[in-house]
Amino acid sequence: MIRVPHRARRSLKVFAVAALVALVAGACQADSPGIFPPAAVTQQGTLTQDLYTFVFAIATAIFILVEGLIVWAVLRYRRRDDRLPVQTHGNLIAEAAWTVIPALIVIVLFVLSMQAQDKIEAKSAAPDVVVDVVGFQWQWTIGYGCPDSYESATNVQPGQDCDFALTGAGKQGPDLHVPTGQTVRFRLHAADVIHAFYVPRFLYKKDVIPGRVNSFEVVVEQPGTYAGQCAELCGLGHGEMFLSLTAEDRGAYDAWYAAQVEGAKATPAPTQAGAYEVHISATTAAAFDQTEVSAPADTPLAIVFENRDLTVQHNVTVLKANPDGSDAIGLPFAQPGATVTYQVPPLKPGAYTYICTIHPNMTGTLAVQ
Amino acid sequence: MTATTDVLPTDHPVELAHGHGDGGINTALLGMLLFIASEIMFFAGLFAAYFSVRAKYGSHWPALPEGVEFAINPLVIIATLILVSSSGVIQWGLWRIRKGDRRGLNRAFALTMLMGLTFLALQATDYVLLADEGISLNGSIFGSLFFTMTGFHGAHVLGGVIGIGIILSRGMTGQFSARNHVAVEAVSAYWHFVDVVWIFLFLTLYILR
Amino acid sequence: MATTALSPRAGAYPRSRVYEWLTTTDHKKIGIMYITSAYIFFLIGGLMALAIRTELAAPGTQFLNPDIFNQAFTMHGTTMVFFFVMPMLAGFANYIVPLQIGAADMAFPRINALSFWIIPVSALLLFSSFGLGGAAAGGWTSYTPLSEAKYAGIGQDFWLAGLLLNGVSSILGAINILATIFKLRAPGLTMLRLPIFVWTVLVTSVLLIFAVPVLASGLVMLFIDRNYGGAFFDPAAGGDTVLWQHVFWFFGHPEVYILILPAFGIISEVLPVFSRKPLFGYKAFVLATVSIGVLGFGVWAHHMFTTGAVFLPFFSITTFLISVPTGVKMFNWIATMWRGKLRFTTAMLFAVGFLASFLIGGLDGAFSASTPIDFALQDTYWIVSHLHYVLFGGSAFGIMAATYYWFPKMTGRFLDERLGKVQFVIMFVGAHLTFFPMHLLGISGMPRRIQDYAPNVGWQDLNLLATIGSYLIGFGTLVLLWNMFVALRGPRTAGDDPWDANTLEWATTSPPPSYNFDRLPEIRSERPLFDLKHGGAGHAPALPSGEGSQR
Repeated sequence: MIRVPHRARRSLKVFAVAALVALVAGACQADSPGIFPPAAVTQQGTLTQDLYTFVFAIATAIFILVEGLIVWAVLRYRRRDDRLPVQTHGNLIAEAAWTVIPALIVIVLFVLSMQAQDKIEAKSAAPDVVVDVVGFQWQWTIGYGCPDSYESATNVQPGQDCDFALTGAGKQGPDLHVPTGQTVRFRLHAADVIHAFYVPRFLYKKDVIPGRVNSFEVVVEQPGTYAGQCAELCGLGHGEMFLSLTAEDRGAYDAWYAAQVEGAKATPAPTQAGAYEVHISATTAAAFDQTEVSAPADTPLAIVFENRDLTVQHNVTVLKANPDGSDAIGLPFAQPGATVTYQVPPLKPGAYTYICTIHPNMTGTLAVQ
Repeated sequence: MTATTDVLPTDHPVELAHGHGDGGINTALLGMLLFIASEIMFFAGLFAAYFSVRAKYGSHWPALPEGVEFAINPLVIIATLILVSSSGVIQWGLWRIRKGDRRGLNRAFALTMLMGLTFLALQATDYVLLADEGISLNGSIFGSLFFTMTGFHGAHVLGGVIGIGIILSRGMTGQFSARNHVAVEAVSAYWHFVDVVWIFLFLTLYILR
Repeated sequence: MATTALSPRAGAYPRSRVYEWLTTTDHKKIGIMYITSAYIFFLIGGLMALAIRTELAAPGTQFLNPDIFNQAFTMHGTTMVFFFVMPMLAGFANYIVPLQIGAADMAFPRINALSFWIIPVSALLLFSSFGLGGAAAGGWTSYTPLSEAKYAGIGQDFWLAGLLLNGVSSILGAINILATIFKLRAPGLTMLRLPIFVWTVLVTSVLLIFAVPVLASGLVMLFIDRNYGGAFFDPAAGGDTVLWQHVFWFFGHPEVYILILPAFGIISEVLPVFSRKPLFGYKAFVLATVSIGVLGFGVWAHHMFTTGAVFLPFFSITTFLISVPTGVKMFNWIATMWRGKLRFTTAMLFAVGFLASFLIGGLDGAFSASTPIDFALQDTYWIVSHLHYVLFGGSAFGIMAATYYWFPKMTGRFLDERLGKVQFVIMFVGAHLTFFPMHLLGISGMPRRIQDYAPNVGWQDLNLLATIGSYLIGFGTLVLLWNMFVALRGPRTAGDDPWDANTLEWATTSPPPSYNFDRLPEIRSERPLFDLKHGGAGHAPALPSGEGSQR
């Protein structure tokens, strides 16, 4: 058998360890991902962060001890002659020690974890703000000022029942606001499959499950805007189901809230006089019912979209329809069973593609001549 | 044993066990019991699903659609009695062949087979009656569970009937004796398992509900 | 008295080698078929992994759109679990266990053959979905409602059917192994003299019998939901969607012990031989193995901490506790090496590499056992890192060790040790380069199962590093394949006992004859061959010193 020289073998191991250390050290810079979580911005997240640090310290100590023993054994006990070593079969004291001590360590970790968990999962009698979150393929709708029945209702329509509802379009998720220093309860409703509401700076996530309403509370201490995204595989758009959360002082939050309520009340722009109506409907998320529609050129268009799909929201977005070449995004989304009219400015002759923003596989061609 | 420079001692011939040398359970029977253990776990998964859904519904269980009632049918009681007593019959057949009585074995297995087929016929009739009452696989969660659990049990009964048929045909050509009847042991064990599962199903689905 | 020498192939009727392999019931040939097909699926699953890593190397879509990407990681996981690790370990168990207990074959040789041949058929079912509308794309965990008929196409049905069939193979194999171990042990081989590999395979087989049928029940229920209007997991029809997770993970968690325990057994064979000491704490090891098996059934909902639907304290404490028997093993292995005389063959390198890597994977688990930490880390790349550390750094390294250790016994030839060491270094570096950065990605918020990520969140450097590492692993695999190819063309030079080992498989030729043993040594401990060579456990040394033992 070929023997790799001892020095080569040892230096390989040293290299491997050094590479790991460099990796870890390099990753400990402020901006790039590190071995510690990003600073938590909630009271609850801070508890998790402290617990993580404690577990990390213990894990590192165990890692250094055990890997050290392995490296030491590998270096120290290389075969140098052919005599049999002492054939030790066991040692009761050592075995008892390395059974009992780890057991004690994990029990301590368990107790600390449960203490933190109870505080993190606690629900107050009367939260200051309640936010209802609806997760669906592949967007979030956020409702504020929703009725108490939402505490356990699984099929909800925030756009209809709440003070106002926010939603996003495509990769641009909704930007929900919460006040700092106050208890905010999130109630999670799933419209179709399982999603998960995850804000990394909360150091927390909770699944959004059809058929049940999950909820959790946070007190955000650090003002700022934080990114979030779905963390449970939910289909094609799972990786693009974003949201952002802005935490600000109560005054700013109240002003934002009032503006949102005003916006919701504003009547939609009346159909322009002389607008040509284009009727499109959808019954499933697989395709529009009409894949080819036509309209006259140089005429304002009103796309009357009937969402016959009783479970999922849809819209009609006409690509490159705006004068500046951008897409005419159909907002608001049409709720299941609802009809919404989207205004499209006059178009030059040509073929325009329309899609559903949430389900881009739903496409059709608008022939303008 | 004299000192020898042979590496391996020569006066310990290799005893390659064939399953009945050194006492203890017969290997083939052990295999059947392990198989039965795995089948028990299959039904355990279905039972766990049943009880967890039932717990979730609480007092609303069995949560059938409006106007649909699930009542126990006298046919099912008859079927249960037949299946339970068939276990007694097959066990009697096993005792007979342990004493070398081939005729007793064949009679018992023929009767068991008949009883098993009767059970299946009554089960099928019950299915039709339930469907008429509006309880179906796709009509409700109770229906899904009921038909899946009893359906897979019925499939296992059919498998048992086939096994009994094989024993019967082998038995009628005289292949079993008091010393050589492992297959009979195995099929009997399987049939008892099928019976016990039915008892649990009956109690859970029809009595406890 | 005239004796007649029997020739194994009497020539009365010539049979082609293909026919022989297709119809064999010899556990050794079946074991080799399992191992060979498992390596083929390792390549297939590995190519999927490379595709995934290539896609994730940089922001933006490189070449896999979300549809194909979701199929890729789903099938990667399914292939690696059900067609690489499980059959590979079954193959080694098939080959080695009868030899280690001094038996001539498995208890049910024909069922053994059936168990193997089910595997390619189930693979056909599973992989045909790619060409018939797309494979399953809901992850290897296939959570409902995403896997229900409304959201998942026919590929999901192929997945269900393929796994149902694959499960039958596992259950039959487990029954066979248990009957073999309980009934066919050579005289003198009491349960507490069984090689540890046999013990781990025993406990694994018990786990298979208790866990796989539960998966089968779940697969059946989902199939009924999808095709017959069942309402098990469909909340809209009154079902409970979290029920799927309970049923799946009740199988899924014991499954991960099924994937690792035989690897523990392999390490427990390799370390003592190449340390020239017995396994430290044999009885404790057996107890720890059984404890892991039992406890493993009590932790399943730690995969569901974020559902809000499980009783957290119970599953957290059981998860914490299961680290104790695993830690005991870790220390037993190190104590085996301690004050030994270590020989760094490739098998030994992979065994040590296993220790170093599995430790990290195991420590990861301690983090996730803590529910608040799990709330942050669940469904992120932290979990991807953890699972790959234990499955690649654990199971796969164990498989590599087994390959180098037992290849001489199975083929009569050595794998080249120099190439083996090259492969080890490449794979060791590649594994850590691939999977360590994923800890950091997960901690910073990168969810798993996403096809793409934004360019401004700082994830691309670590993703690129992981991709480079994955290509290293791929290259290391090529080195292994080359090694096998070259070795198989050489002459049989290995001899009966090339490693100076301890257990019965080395007390016969390499490869063994079809009936395994001409004679067996007396069995007085878990190291019957060692005792014979060095006079242990009541033997006077049978040999003049220096003769017969491999130096």
